Amino acid sequence: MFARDGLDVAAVLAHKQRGAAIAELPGAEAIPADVAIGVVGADLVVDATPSSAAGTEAALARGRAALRTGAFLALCGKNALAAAAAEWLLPPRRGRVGINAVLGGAGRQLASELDELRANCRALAVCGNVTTTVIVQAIERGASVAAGIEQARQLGLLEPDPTLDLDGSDAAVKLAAVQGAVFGEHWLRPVVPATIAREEVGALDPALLRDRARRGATTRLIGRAVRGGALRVAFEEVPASSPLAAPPDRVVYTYELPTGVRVHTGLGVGHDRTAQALLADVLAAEVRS
Amino acid sequence: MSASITLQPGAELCHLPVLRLASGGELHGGVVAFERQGPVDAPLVIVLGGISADRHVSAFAGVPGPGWWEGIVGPGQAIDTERLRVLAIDWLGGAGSSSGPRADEVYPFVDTADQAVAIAAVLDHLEVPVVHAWVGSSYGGMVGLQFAAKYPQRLQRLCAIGAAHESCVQASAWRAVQRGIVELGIARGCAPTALSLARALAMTTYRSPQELQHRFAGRPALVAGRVRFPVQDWLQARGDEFARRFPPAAFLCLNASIDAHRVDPKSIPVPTWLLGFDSDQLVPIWQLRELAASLPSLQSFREARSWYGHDGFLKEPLAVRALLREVLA
Repeated sequence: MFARDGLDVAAVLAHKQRGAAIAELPGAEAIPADVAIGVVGADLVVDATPSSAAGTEAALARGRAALRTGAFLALCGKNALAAAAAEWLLPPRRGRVGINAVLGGAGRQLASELDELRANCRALAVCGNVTTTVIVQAIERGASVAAGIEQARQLGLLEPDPTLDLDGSDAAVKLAAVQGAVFGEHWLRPVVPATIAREEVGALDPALLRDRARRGATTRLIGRAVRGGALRVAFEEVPASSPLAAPPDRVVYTYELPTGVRVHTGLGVGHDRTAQALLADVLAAEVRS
Repeated sequence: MSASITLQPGAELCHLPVLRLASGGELHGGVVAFERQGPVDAPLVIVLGGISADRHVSAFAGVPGPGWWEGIVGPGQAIDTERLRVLAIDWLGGAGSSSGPRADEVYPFVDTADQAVAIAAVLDHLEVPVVHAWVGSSYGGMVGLQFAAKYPQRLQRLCAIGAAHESCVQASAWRAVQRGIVELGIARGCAPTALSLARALAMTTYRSPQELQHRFAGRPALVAGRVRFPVQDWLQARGDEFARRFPPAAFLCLNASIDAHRVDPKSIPVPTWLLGFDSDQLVPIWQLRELAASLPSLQSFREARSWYGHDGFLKEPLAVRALLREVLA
């Protein structure tokens, strides 16, 4: 929503309080968001639209429009980053895109260490879907798969489209995003998340999960990528003291380096924390003078 | 709080729940890196040292490099890893792989009680209800006293070496000057140099005047027109080595944590053994006598002669082994 002569906030509020839509404001004109971004010429563009595979092209258009105008882009959508990680995180766009919220609060760490990771990381792993962690933990405590899913729903953890959590798509998108950032190049075609082999929640064997728990291990949905190799998302047995044995209030990314395993932990889980992660990017944004 | 750490082979990790800190703040997203050695089903002994010590106590097959307490911990040693399971951690707020201060985030104040709570969380994570023994030196002993006060039902015996129930004023004064040096260095853009200098000052408090006199008595030399004493080479070497591996922010965090340490000895029902060194300037013997007199279940209090001062726990293995044989019998 933009008015070149300035926005009459009181009038807009009164309009909304009458239950009317923004598009029905006097003089309003609906234009594509990427065009609007170019018209407004903002210093900072915050794209908080939800992630969706179908919305990837539109998200890319918005992001590219923002970057063309010289704006800093604070991003929430995972699909856009998966499609444009190398394009947006490497020079010449380096430092212009905030990815903290996209990666569950661990995006700033990735951005600040990206040079080192790109030079030295051999393989990476992601435990980035807290919904499946909640489901797994419920199963370990004796619940059924269905009961675990219901528990995740009651905690408000499921994506607007819950199949994204349950069929591994959400994890695949996150994996594609970090793989693109760390292993991607401008000249390489980005990995399409839909092509990543993945496992879905329905394939979980409760007896197996409980057996692992009895032995002091646990199970997590892990996304893995090796430099130059294939990507996959699968439920794995994880030692209880592995960094990938993440509790359901955080996401974890690991990067294998010659010096050891770099572990990034992000607390941007849930609406409030995602908003905080996004705000962190906004506050850190380089503002065009 | 987000975290970025590096884990070496042999290191294990515990994701902490939200820690409600003694200062009133909270630590979100904290992690504790730890290391274990010894038989899986053996009694568990927690072994912890000073603020510059870490999770790697001694060499073993999983991590073959030397640790900070070789000769005390290992197969057939006083803490025998053929019959005991040893657990050690990297301190919260320190230089290791546990979460700590970062340049772009405010790290909450963590004191010895908070470290004890974090270790309790690690024990919960490992499903260890009761610890066979806690052997803590310096800061590790302080945290042990806190753990014994907070979780007496989870600890069967406590051995504290060079550690008291609170910091004495003289020691706090020295540490305040060290922190001031580092803070000035950070403000002036020369933090590593400042940290080296602060550590050099600290070294003079870790050892005894007698030892330094014996080792470094000698005529000064004129170097580039300036007088330089033999002890300065040692101080600079120790300081520079420390500054190469210890982040200044972590130093400030743990240094202040020592000064904030307070525990009521009367609240510690756990059987406790104490060892102090007569030349220790940081934890003087009179303070350990105070502690010993107040512990409800004191088993023994040994005052060992040493000219190594506070570093006696590193430099007097005979005294330490004799004590541990009694504690772990």
